[in-house]
Amino acid sequence: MTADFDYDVGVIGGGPAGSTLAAYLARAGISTAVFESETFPREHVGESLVPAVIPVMRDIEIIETIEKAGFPRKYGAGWTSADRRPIANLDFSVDSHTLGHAEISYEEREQPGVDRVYAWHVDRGRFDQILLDHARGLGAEVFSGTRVNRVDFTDPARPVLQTKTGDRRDPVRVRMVADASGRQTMLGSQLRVKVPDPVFNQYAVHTWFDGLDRRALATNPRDADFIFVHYLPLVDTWVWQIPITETITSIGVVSQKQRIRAAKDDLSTFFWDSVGSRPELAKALRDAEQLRPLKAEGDYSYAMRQITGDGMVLIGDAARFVDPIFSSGVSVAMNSARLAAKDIIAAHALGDFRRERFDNYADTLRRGTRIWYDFISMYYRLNVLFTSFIHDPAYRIDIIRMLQGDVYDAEEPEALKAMKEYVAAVEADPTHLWHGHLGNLRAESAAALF
Amino acid sequence: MLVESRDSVVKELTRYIQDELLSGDRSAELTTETPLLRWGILNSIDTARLVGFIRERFGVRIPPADIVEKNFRDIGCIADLVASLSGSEATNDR
Repeated sequence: MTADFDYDVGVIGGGPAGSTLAAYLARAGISTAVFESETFPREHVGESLVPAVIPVMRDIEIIETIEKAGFPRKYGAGWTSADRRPIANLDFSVDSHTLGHAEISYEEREQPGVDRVYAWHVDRGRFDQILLDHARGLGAEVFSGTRVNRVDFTDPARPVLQTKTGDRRDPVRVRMVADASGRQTMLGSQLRVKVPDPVFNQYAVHTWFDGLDRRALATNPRDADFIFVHYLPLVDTWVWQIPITETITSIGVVSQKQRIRAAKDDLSTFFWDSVGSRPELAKALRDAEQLRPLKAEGDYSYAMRQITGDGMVLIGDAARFVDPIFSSGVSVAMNSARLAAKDIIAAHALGDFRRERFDNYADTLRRGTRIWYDFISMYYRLNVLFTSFIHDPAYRIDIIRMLQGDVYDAEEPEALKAMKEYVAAVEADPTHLWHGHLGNLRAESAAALF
Repeated sequence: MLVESRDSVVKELTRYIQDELLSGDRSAELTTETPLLRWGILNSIDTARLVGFIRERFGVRIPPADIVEKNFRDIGCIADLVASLSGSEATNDR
């Protein structure tokens, strides 16, 4: 007897979310096809990982391959600033060495399921290819250069992927679909469940530099291979510094959309004017060689009204994207794949792929992304709080936990509750000593919509 | 209760601000009335550190809503705040 479907699961997109899910499913003996519109390797933003990817890498047994690939190890994170704005409503300045300088090492906190004290910085071209090849090696079928234009849900028990490879169009029948199409949000757009985030209207303009003196920009030269976030003395604007190889460094400016508009969408003017506000940063960059044209990532943050349905789940960026400040992208991708895989494997055993089979996934991801979202909101709304909490022994470990990406399988961290309490108090009282530090970005509620 | 008297709170606060926030600089004599905010001795990060110190040393948690100008103007104000939050009866008149 021939089955009336081609694969159990059709995965749209072969980035970290799609390949991780395919790896889990293939290992469980579920027939899986991945449709990737591009041919790897291809460039991609989102190069810094957090340790929360490690339990997932161990699950799918890719961690030794990642180790062998020789990506720079990321032992921690640092923040620098040249902030001399008057603080509170009193007109005194702040020492540049006290405000906004902070560093954390991952090894300061033991993390469940994590057997090393570092994550990695990765060239996403190589990293994503390694993951996809791994999924293929485990038995998933991978179609490269094949785009999924839409999914026909006429019979929710037998979705049909409308694929296109060059000029060829092939319908592919499956029992369920996982959308891992990233910021393209294939199903979110098709089903009109995508909602732009009104708060985080951030843009990024980024490129790679060769020969950048990372030590010159680190708070401590020993930690030059940390990820660094350099605050610029411009509202809600910061720069990422991510080691890609021994000599290559990824640099991106993240700011609000209107500032890029004000530069008449001229990326070069915007980029160099922005970094120019930190002269030592601008000089280090000018002394290095820019390797790629500047690239913009726009339409930043969004949520979905639903991330599961009959015969479908949305994972990774296809489910939610907020802001890259804490390097959450690949971690959300791989952990959402882990959580979704668990429900899909159970659904497969029952032969039932209806929406309620994916409730665990939706609930857990909702809890995790809410913590991320709130943490990011607090960060933008009252940055001084973030810095002071890092320096406060009562909260430091909790902050590190969130920076490790350890948010899915636990309750809301105490530090986050305290941050919310602070922000409310600071907002309410103009004589609060931190009132003058309030940022422009203001999230009214932790809007996890799904 | 870790707070014995307002005097000892004043002494501890003065020592902490002198040693930790002013890095041991004793060129300016700190009194209970030295205007910490106006003179820029306490910036926002320092305020956070001081709040942490008070929690560690006296077991007194200062609620976020109390971190306002009138409570941090000088060491006297801060000592009063600590005393009132600790519920100590040792609070002297100023």
